[in-house]
Amino acid sequence: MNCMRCGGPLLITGYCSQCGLSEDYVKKCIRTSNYYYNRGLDKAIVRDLSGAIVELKKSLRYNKKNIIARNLLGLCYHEMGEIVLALSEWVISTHFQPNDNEADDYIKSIQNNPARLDEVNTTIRKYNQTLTYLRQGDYDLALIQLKRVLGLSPNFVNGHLLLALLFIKTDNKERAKKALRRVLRIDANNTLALKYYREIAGNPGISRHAESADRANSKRSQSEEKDEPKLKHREIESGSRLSIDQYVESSNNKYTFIGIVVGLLVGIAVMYFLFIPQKTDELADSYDTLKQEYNEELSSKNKDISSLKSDKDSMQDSIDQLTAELNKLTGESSSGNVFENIINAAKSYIDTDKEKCAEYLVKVDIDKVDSKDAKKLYNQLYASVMPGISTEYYNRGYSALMAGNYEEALKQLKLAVEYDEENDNALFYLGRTYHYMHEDDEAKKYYQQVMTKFPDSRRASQAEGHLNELS
Amino acid sequence: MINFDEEIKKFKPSLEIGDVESTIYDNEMQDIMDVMQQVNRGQIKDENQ
Repeated sequence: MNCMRCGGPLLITGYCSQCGLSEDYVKKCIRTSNYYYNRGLDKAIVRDLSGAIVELKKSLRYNKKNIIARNLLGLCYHEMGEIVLALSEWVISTHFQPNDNEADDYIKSIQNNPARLDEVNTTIRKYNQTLTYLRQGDYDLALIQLKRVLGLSPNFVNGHLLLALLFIKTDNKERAKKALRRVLRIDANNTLALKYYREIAGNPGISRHAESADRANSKRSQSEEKDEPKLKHREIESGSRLSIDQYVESSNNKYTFIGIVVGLLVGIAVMYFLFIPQKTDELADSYDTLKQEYNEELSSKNKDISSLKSDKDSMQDSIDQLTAELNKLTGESSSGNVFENIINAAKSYIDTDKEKCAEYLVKVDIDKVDSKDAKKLYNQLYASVMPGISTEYYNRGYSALMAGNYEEALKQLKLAVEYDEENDNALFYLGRTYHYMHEDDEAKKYYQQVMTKFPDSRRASQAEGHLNELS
Repeated sequence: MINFDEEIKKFKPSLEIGDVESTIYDNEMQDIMDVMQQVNRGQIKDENQ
């Protein structure tokens, strides 16, 4: 047989040949160590972590190589947020049993996660900084720092206790109670927490609190430790090996992510509800102002344009008036220079070209001529040429009419009437021509002219007769 | 009544990750069996002398 402590061969006397210890004594120590381990385990199961730590330390005092007791001690430290102490126990555990040791997995689960390590370090530094602030009396800074610490490590029992103490100091009992209840949910029989709670709530509060802690524990086991624990125990029987689920990533990261998302949403909402409407209003105001300015400018320009148009019209009137006056003064008309026409008419008369002479005379507006000599010459030429030439055109028109050439007849007869308004024959036959052409309205017009201008003539009675035919 | 200043003194600065090694060295590694072993060795020494 070998020694249960060092593995050395046992002597027949019952003593180890290497360590020199009695086998009975070693067995007794190991049993005692296991007894305390079982007590620690029972307390750990009901989340009396501080009580479990005491028992497990006793267990290790009897047998420092009790691996499961040491691993459980590390777990209890870890659960209370004391990561460094937990790591220390696990490192020692792996030292005694390098192979097939669950502590190795626990260490790796922390060491292989740099973010977690960094988070642990930050938490510890901030916690230490909080203590410094508190000792200096900077309670506000301490409170801010402490909240950060607990945000990073929600299971940090000392952090919650410190927070409770701070709330008690600032006479905020309700919040202090809340922090203490949180401690008792992690460590059900935490001495300091119970002490502080009794100070706040009085003695009856202890029993009430114990009940609430128990309720919290049962609730916790039902809800599978939603927000606090990172390492969960399996069902453990007394004396059996401790078994631990794999390391679960801190839910703190999840909360950080949710916080970022909520922050983004709030930012977007603020932008949507405050910033964009403000900008829209500014743009609308700017647009209205521009529109008003533009309308005013447009109105002003329209006013200018209408004023200019009015000026233009009045200027045009002045130009027309002045042109008319100028024409009157220079003796010009649409037919040309009256004197020139009279001279040309005289020249044609001399040349015995009566038709040309008549054309020139027709163009002259004798009322615009002030010269008496010119008027006299005009009248002499008119009297000697126009009746004759009118008769000549009448004859041509009549011949054309008789020949059935109505268009030519109309042309000649109109010239005859133009050159001599007293030519009743020409006027009558104009009516007759239209009558033959079945243009009754025109025919009636000329018949009536004959009857009006020459009522006593033979043509008037004839015209009346034809008019009656048409009626 | 809680004395805030006294209570604060109970809270010690937490150890950082880098302090794990020193914590292990400072850990009291002796158990009762070690003590008994030392006692036995002392007795044997005395008997030899």
